Formats: sequence, structure tokens, C-alpha cells
Amino acid sequence: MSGDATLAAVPTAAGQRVRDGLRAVAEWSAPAVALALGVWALRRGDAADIGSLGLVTALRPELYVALALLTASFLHGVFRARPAPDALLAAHVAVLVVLLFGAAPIIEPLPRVISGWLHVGFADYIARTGETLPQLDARFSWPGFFALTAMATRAAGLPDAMPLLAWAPVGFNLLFGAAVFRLARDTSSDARTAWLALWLFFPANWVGQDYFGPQAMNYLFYLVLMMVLLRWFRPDRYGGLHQERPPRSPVALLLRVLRLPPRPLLREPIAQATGPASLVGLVAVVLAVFAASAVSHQLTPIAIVVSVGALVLVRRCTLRRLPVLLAVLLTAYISYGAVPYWAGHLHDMFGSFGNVGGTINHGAVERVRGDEGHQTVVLLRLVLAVAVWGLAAIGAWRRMRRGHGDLGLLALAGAPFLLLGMQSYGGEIFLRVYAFALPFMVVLLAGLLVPVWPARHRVPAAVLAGALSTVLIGAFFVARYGNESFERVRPGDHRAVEWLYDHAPAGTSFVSVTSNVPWRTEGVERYRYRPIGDDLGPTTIGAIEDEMRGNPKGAYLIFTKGQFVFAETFLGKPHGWGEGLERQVVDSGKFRLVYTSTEARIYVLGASRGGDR
Amino acid sequence: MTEIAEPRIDVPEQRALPAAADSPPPPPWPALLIVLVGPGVLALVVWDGPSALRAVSVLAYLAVVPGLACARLIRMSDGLSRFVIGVALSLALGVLVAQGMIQLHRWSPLLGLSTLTTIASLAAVTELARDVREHRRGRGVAAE
Repeated sequence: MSGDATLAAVPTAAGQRVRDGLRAVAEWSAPAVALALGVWALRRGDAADIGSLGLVTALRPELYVALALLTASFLHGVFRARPAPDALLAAHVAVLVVLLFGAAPIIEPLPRVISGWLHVGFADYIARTGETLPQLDARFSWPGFFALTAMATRAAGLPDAMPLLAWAPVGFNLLFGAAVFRLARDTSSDARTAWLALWLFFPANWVGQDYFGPQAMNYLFYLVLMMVLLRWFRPDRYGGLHQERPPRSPVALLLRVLRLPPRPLLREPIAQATGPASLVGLVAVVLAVFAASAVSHQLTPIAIVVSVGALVLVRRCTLRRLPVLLAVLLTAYISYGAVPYWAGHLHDMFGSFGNVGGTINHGAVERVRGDEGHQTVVLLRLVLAVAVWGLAAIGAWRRMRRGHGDLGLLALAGAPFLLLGMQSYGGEIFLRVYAFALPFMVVLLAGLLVPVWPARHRVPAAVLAGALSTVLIGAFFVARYGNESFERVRPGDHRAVEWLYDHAPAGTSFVSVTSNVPWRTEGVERYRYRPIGDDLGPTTIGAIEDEMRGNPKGAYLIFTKGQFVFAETFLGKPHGWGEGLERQVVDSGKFRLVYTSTEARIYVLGASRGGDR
Repeated sequence: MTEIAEPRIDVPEQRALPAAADSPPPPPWPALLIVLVGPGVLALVVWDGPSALRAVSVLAYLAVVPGLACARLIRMSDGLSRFVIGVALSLALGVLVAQGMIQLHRWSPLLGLSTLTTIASLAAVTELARDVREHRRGRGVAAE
């Protein structure tokens, strides 16, 4: 370089550095501003505004501005000629997780979903006694998560697990995201597809199985196991599927009908190379994680066995005997550790085997009930699920058109549907199938949107991705938080339950008219709770009286706002049903008021005195 | 709109990835840190350290360290995989240890924490020993 050229290059290089610095500041300021604006908007939300469509009516418009800014910035980073640094894209994703899954803990004063509160009670029992109570609740037959929680909270010096409840969904989703990104990266030809798949995963994950409980931990186990198998235990070369087929073979005809090339799996990924010692270590990881899953959740280990079996069936897992080994481990645990459950519930476990129609009816059709708002929420969920599956199917087709088909990915996206033929899982199997298939569906979905690089039409692709993100994020707040009117825990309800624990002698009965009460967080074995396992408790004066007189040690009848909302919104009871029932209780003269607040009352048996209310 | 590319025979991307065994040796300080931090966490529990520090330290340790120490024994080319496998394995080991104590009627959160600390420390020491052995072997090959 000549002297003149050197002199000219110095200010140019300095100017370039300044421009790069300014661009980096602008890029990083987008997620920072979105986070600050979003949290500010959420803090201004009022839980009192939650209506029959859930949390969405309590959200401020500024939150949508923050999410729009975040989405635009993220998609610009993904779709520009040279993708943004991984750290920047990861920061966008982390902010998205906080704004989507942190919305409820920021707006609501108490952790949501009473099932999570119950899990705190189960862990509390184990922490106090070092034992389980399988006769009390089926979940105690799979106590792994509760035992871990008990050990961890007591070692940490916490009185119980309540401090972990509110933000557990954010923590779990960040972990899910790490595993989903690796899955997407290992099954996609470029990083853009993986980033977009990760971005779409969160708003599409409205299922709500990420609250504090064994199902959330087991979902992480499921994702990690599939990640390990897809990454290290694929074949390192493929045989027959890549060879030319006779033009009249059934597969060739099918490919022609679907307008697919003769070799749609041409560029299928292969196993990552690693040494034999590392492979042995990875098998040990698989077995340890599966063992922990088998002792801590009813459904996930079955989903793992089915998915691993599907991978082996399509020859995308070299551990051919693994599904058999996992099935033996699972059967051994159920035969030994879950006897108190299956001894009396064989019909619950196997009664719906093969009854796909009944399971779909129980899990989807029968769920369209309750008030108008709740029906809208359930229908939106169904539409979202079908839309994600449909778009993923088109994405799979496009990938195969490019020769980027991945049989392992397709097998894992489809395998969870086999669960529909096995168990109705209390009507929840539809949600679980959607959740288990989702990580693989979003990779296929992203394959529909991300063009082959270098792309001539990346702006339309980015706009399309932006439109889909907007729809999914907008729908997320209704689909996920649509039941918030009764899934949130009201402070008034909680105070009433605390009063019970402070005043009720051990052995007494706690009676409510619906199951939506935030109790059993402590002393699960000290009191008799009614109802358990059913949505409705006793709902006539005679039935309530019989239930309370059935316990010679005494009984408390609790009416809370949360129960009434649950009855109207979810169970479809007429407006004012709960208040009417309580009025009958008061008018009967057989119950005495012992606690009252604006949102809750507690009665005991006995002649009422004037001025109780 | 998405472009459809003509299928062409190409070397799959992952075939080109370097074998993890060829990657440079990992630094020793994470394993040393794992060995040192375990007794520190145990000390916080035994001597009932400040409540916030104790809660955060113990929960973070149980959620990450035992599994990560074991996962570090496996050669992996990227840190994200190691981390997420480490967290899942930590939770799995925690579940198995806690449930094992229930089955054996030996319930003690301190015993559980001690067991997991021992597992993590053994894994970290094994990693350090392996790295030292490989380092010596590498120097021997270089000297020849």
C-alpha cells in the first residue's frame, strides 16, 4: 500500500469502527427498550381487569408496542444478508420469554394455577416426613419431582417451595428454548431456520404445562433426550432411502403424487462424530434422565418410549434396542413403585386404549363448554393447533422439495399422535400431544418461511414471518391466559385458606362447592379435603350438611370468589349460581359464619346467630 | 416467498464438523471451580449461612453443577449442549438421589446434598486427571 493510500485508509477505518459501534448500540438497544417498555406496561396492568377472556383484558397497549419492536428487530437480525450475532438474537428471545411468560407474575399478586400450589404441599409433606402418600393422590406414585423439591428447598433453608412458583414458567421456558434451539440447529441446514423455529416455539407454546410441577421438568427431559439421540445417535450414512427407485414403485408413485423429487431425503443430517467413550457417556445420560422421568411423571416416559421407538422404526437411531430397554425400565418401575395407583385404577390406565375417537372427544370436543368467553378460548386453541400442524406439514413438504427432508424430524413430529390411541389422560392428552410434537413442528414451520440462502426474496419472507409471529403472539395471550379468571389465585381466597390453617384443628374436614381453592399447600394429610379429583363438591344444602356431619372432628365450609368464577366460566353454571347457593346456606339456619372478607366466607355447622354477616 | 432449490448432491453440513476429540483441550479452571464450590455450598448449609445467599447458592448448585460436572466428561463441541444436558442431568440426579433416600428410609436433605456434591467433585477430579494424563501424553508425543 502506498503512503497516500495508507493516510486515506486510516480515517475510513476509524469511521467504519464508529459506524459499527453505533449500529451495535442501536441493535442492542432494541431488546433493552422492548424489555423496559414491556415490563413497565405489565406493571401498569391491573388484575381486577381480568375478564372471561382472561389476562388479555388487563394488558396495556404499550406491551404490544414493545412486542412489535422486539419482533421487528429480531426478524431484521435473522433475515438480513449477514445474520446478527448469536448473543444478540438470544437476547431478543430471552426478552420474549420474559414478556410472554412473565406477564402473569408481574400483573398478579400471587402465583397462578392451584395445581402448582398443590405440588408445594406434596413437597412439604415429603420434607416433613421423608415418606410419600400414594393412597392420598395418584401423583404420589411418581414422587420424584416432589422429593427433589423437598430436598432442595430444605437444604436451601426455605420453609417451602412457594418462592419458586411464580417465575417457574420463565425459568423452564428458557431451558426449553436452549434445548429446542439445539434440536432445530441439528435438524436444519442453516442457523436462520433454527432461530426462527425457536422464536415461533414460545408463542406457539400456549399449552401451560410449564408451571411448577413434574410435567415441566419432564418436558425438559424429553427435549434433552431427543436432542441427544438426534445429534449423536443418527446413522453416519444412509442406505436404501437415498438410492434410485424403480419409477413404478409405490414410494416413487407417492412422491410423484406429492410433487416431490425422487430423493427428498438427499441432504438429511448425519450423526455428529465423537469418540466411543463419549458415546458410552451419552448412553449413561439417556438412561439416567429416563430413570428420573420414569419415577417422576405418568405420561412423559411413555411419550419418550414411543418417540424413541419411532426413531428406531425409521432407522434414525442406531441404538436399536433402546426402546425395549426403556420400556422394560418403565414397566419395572410401574410394577414396583406405582402399585397403589394401578391396583385400583387399571381402567383409568388402559380403559381408553385404542379408543381414539373417544379420546379426541374427551380431550377436544367436550372441552368446548363453559361460558361464551371460555368457549372462545377453547376454540381458538383448537384453531391454533390445527394451523400450526397444517403449516408444519406444508413446511415439511417444502423441505423435501429441496431435498432437505429429515425422516427423524418427521418421525418425532408424528410420534406423539400415537398417544391419542393409548390414554385420554383425564381429557388432557390433546394438549400433551400438541406440546410433545411442538418442538419438531416449529422446525418444519420455520422451514416454510426461511428461504434458501443467498435469497433474492428475503423481504417478503421476513414480512411473512412477521405476520405469523404477530398472529401467534397476539393469540398467545388469549390461548394461554384465557382461563385466568379462575386460574389466578385471588388474595381474598388465599387469606381465607390461611385462616383455616391457623384455626382448624387437625383431622377436620374442609368442604367447598368447587375444586378451585388454593389449599393443600401445607398439611395435605392433616385435613380431609372435599372435593378431591372432581370439579364439583356438594352443591345442595343436604349434601353439604351430610358431608360436614360425616366427620365427627368437625368441618368447615368455605365459599370463595374463585370457586364461583370457576363454576360459571368453566363449568357453565348460570350467573350468580355460587352466590345463590351461599344464600341458601345462610337461609337454612344450619350454618354459622366464622370468617368473612369481601371475597370469601367460612361456615361451620351450628345454628346461625343474628349479625353473623 | 420461499425459493425452491434444485436438489444437488452435497456433503451434509454436519459431516464437515470437526470431531470433538480434535478440539483443543478445555481449560482446567471450571473443573477446579466445581471441586471448590461444593464444600462452600455444604458449609453454607451446615453453618446456616445468610438466608438469601444460602437459598440462591444451594438451588443454583443443585440445578446446574452435579450434571454439568458429569457432562464435562463427555467431549462436546458446543457449550450450549453441554449446559442444557448438564441441567437436565443435575435435575435427574437430584430426583434419583432424593427418591433413593425415600426408598431407603434415609431421608435427610443434607445427606442428599452431600451425595450430589460428592458426585460432582468426583466427576470434576476425574476430568482433571484425564486432562493431566492427556497433557502428559501429548508432551511425550511432541518430545518423540
